Amino acid sequence: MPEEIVLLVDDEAVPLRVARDGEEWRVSAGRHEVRARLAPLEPGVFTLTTGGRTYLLHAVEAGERRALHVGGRTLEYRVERRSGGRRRDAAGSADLSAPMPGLVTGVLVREGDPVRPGQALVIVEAMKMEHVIRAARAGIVRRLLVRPGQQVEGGAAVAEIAPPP
Amino acid sequence: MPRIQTVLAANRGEIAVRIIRACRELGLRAAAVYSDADADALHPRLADVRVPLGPPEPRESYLNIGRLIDAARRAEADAVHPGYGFLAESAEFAAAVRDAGMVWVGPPPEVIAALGDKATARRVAREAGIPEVPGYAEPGASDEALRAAARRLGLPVLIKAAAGGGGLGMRLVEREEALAEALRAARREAAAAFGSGGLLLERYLPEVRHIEVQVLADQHGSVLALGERECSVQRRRQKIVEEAPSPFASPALRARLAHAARAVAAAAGYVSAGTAEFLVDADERFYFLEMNTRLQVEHPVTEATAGVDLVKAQLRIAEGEPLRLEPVEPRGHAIECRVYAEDPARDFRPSPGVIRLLREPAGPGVRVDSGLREGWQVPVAYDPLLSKVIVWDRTREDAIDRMAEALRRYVILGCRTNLDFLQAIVGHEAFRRGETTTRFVERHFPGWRPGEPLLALAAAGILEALREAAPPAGAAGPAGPSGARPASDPWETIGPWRMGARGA
Repeated sequence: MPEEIVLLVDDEAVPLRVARDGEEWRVSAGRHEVRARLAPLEPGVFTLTTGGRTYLLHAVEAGERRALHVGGRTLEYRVERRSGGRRRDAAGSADLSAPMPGLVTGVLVREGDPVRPGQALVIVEAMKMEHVIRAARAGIVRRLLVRPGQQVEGGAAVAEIAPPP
Repeated sequence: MPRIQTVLAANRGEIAVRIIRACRELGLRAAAVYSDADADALHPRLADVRVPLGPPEPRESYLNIGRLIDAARRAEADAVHPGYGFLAESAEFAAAVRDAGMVWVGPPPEVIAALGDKATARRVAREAGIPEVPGYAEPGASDEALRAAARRLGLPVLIKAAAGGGGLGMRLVEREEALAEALRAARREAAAAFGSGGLLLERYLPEVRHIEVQVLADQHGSVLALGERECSVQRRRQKIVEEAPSPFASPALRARLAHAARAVAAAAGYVSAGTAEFLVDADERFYFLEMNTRLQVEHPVTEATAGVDLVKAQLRIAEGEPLRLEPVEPRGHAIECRVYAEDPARDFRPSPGVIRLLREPAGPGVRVDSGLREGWQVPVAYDPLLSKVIVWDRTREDAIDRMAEALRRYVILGCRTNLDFLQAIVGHEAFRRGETTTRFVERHFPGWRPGEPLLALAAAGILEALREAAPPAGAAGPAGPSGARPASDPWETIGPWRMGARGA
């Protein structure tokens, strides 16, 4: 009986149907189907044979996070079993979050300031690169959640913008 | 000059490892420095002696001359190799090393000061009769002067850090409204990376190739050109793929570039390894860009084609040895790909993480210069270059095939990298045809995203199905890593995944 497995890849649900047919696995992803055989090689390493070619497969996990490498491609994912393709809501303050972990080097607005779409709000620096976080739409700065000199996590909200009055 | 006993690699990551290995070959003691962010990095572990520098911020560590000199003393080093980036082109650091009675593995501070500042370098080239890119380069130029110069030159212009390289502090400005913010950001980046916010402008030449010539000069006035490298494939003004020789340069152009590079080096009284950078247009007209007074990131492609170990050559030159002036005939073709901790699917954002699994390619003609180890957390404080894959083969076609396979076999799990983007570049027909201009990436890979990883998804599905098959029906909870599986668990027969905690 085929298994329904839903992976979360970059917060996007990827439903797979996985069935076993003797030695062979059949995996469907959308319109595509892959038929493959898997054999263990050493801990965490397998061979995957499909379409007459054999690939090395390396896999690791750290808690809920999993990663594998096969055929030159790397996949990081989590597993969200049979949950019907729920998508995490990435909207909300997503456009006002730090794109990566780093250091806040500039806060260019104050609470209560009106902002235009595209206006620079906060500067985050990481790995020698400067990233400017900009307002997605017009509004009023309701709250500033970071200060210059502060270390922020990737995805951390830096400000809240209220709709214009 | 006394022989060198102990060399301090005043740098981090792959280049520190590279320097340590060259010291090993020469039988020298190798010393490393590390910031708090690099306490677990590979380079201090490999060195014979390691000295902590302080907090992660470059100004407190790898850019801090006082602390580096102090570290060199504590390591009982009698020579300092600066690598590239950080203080590699700092005349002040070179002078401090010399004043501390140690050997500086590089050109004398006076030469660095003359050539390391791009504004002065352009004048040296002009006086040697070498054509230069139209631009504006005045030491200490104000924002106002730069804005006026931009209007005179006409947009688009390129803002560059006068003291820098490697794309840091560099901005392409196409609209006048964007100029003020670009100048501000470039100054900040330049000051943070190079300790100087000095900027210059160049007219942006869109359809050009970036070709550079490696030179090696000894303390006795001999200058050798070791062939050219083409580094046109760039992203955000940063080189990502380099090769030697250039697929574009004719023998005549090659000879003219080598001559120009030697002329600039000779005019400047150059010593050690250095690189003259040129822009070359479709009609083989070339313009001098700058002289890099240090080892380049991409030096291994020249090592492969010229058969010279440039780091060892630098150390021997620093000891006063004369160059053996045999003409160097480059042979075969070498390509380098830079592996960065960045996520191609998210606009190439830096992507730090813990390296959970590392399998680096090797084999005939394959070299990896790497600063990686499993369990290491890639720090956010520094440039995201992780390692470099270098291949050599007899022809460019064979070298491309060799690179494609080396990249496919390179396994880095735990931290997103640009390995799939690099595969897309070397797999592209235009790259194979040698149509590499500085606009290669924007032309052929606009908004590039990796294709659907069908095979990887299938593999994930199979692994999860095997995992799922294990617990008895009704078993609750997620099938996380657990040592308490029944012996009949098919997962057990396949072997456990490597746990993330391993080596962390």
